[in-house]
Amino acid sequence: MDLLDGFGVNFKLLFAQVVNFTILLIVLYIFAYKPVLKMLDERRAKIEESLKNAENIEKEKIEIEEKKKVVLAHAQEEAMQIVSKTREEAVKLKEEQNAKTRREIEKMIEKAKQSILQDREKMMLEVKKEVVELAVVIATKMIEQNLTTEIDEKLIDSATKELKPQ
Amino acid sequence: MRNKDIAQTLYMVLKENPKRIKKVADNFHDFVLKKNLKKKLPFILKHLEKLALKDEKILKIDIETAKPLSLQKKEQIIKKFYPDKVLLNQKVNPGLLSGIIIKIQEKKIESNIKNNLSSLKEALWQIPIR
Repeated sequence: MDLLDGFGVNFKLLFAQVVNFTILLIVLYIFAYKPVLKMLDERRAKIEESLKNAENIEKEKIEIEEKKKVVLAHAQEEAMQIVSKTREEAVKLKEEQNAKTRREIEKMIEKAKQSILQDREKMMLEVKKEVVELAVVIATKMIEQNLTTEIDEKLIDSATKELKPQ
Repeated sequence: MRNKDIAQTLYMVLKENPKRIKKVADNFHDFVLKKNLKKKLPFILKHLEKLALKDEKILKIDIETAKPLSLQKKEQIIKKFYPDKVLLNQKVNPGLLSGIIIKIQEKKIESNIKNNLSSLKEALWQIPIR
């Protein structure tokens, strides 16, 4: 004690200060340190939660991205299939249309051919009729000019020879 | 009643009453009017002619010529059927140009230029077109 006194330390004062300091520490601990710790804990928990959420969000984002890629790939595949199918159908339709047009053209050509043939036949028959009529008219005129009683008698004799008693 | 039956009845009546032909004809005329047979009359008379010719054994020959047939040719035809009786019915048709058509019952003999020209026409028609 004397030693402390020798250094000018007042033990009572020191003790009182220690007590005061302890009380201050207790007060501080109760009213400041604990709420701060609590607040820090809460803050840490919030940050951890936020980080966790952020991580989850990131995971979900990745999942969504993957799903998006899958959906996109699927949609692209479907689109490709639709385009391919449409193209095939278009080609098929075009071929059918071409075939139909070809058939119609062939029919028209055949009809035209038949019509030409019929017209030709009709014309030829008309010509033949006129030629035959003309030939008969010429023959009649020539015969008329050369008819004699002798010819007449020969024709009558020829018919008479065919007569037989009934 | 068929035309043939009417003709046959009329012929029998005419045959049985040869001296009353006018009376029979008048009665037949009334019958035709009464039964409205005016349209059938030509056919009835044709049957009547056939019956008479058959009964009298007369052969009817229809002749069609371009020019009037000479007596010599007529005799030549009639001789063919001697001793049968022949009724020669002649008609002149200048359209034949030359020659003759002879019809005896259902038979027909044609020997004339018109017929030959028809054959020529038919033959020309048969030639195919190329």
